[in-house]
Amino acid sequence: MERPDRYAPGMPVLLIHGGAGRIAPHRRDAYRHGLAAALDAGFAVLSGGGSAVDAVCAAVASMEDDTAAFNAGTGSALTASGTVECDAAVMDGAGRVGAVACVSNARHPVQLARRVLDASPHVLMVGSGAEALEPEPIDPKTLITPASHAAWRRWRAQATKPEGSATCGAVALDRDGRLAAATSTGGVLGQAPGRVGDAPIPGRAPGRTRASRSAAPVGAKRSSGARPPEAWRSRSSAATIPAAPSTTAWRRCGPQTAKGA
Amino acid sequence: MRSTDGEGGLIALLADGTIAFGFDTPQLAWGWRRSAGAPVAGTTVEEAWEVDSDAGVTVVPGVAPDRVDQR
Repeated sequence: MERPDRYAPGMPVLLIHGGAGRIAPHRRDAYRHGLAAALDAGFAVLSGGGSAVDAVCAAVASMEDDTAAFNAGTGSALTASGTVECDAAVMDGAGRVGAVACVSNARHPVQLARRVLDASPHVLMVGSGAEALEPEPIDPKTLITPASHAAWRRWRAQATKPEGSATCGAVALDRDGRLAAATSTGGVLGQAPGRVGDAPIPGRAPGRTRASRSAAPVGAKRSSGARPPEAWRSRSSAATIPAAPSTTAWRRCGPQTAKGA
Repeated sequence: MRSTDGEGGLIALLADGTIAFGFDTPQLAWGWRRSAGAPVAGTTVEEAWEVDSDAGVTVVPGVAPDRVDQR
């Protein structure tokens, strides 16, 4: 008998994150709005029969365009010099990767990473070499928002070291069972120009497991304090388990298999 | 994803549709959506999104065990 409330092969899935760390209470609604918009953008691709790679790029590009919440693309955290330097990566289920770092002329760094994946023989490109691949370069100043500039001014007046961090990301499974992942970040507020974090590094931020069909830490219940949101409490069968131990089961590996490093 | 304090989190999606995410940092902004009830998407979906402060690992199972048995 059919179980219409459960996932079945051929049903697309999109999972996103808009950053980890401290999110100010007054900004949470902006994050929720941005998450919903990113899900709309990415799932529209999957619903139309698009690929997982296209979907994760669409979802992350939506977050890069969001100026109210996420640290990626427009509104990215500024470097110590007051400039924007973005990092992004795309990986497909076969382990093919395209990544860029320290780019300032791309409205959508994740799409530039996609160009590295699709149109170059390389894996990770940085700075001017990566920027040369951007088909529609923009003035880097357009990536700076009043809010990101104000945050930088506050940091410059008070802080002595880089602070805060957040990365956007998406993972998708398309109708044909293909997996893909993408990440994008503006880095750390006050970072030195030229600093590259782990977001564009294959195997660090975007990654895959070789045992992905069986490695899920499924089944246990959270011991206490569980607070699943109403949306899924009523519509799905989420299971939760305590923090930490199971994350180690998701061993990631990212060596290139289809392209040379 | 990781904060400068070394805390962080992880989102994962398995080929059977299982969704997993977890974190040990103060907050994580996350969301997911998947089709439900029809192999052709765009009809019924299940979804959730939240800025969560309840650290831990959450798993949304994919293919139901009874369906696995049927294949």
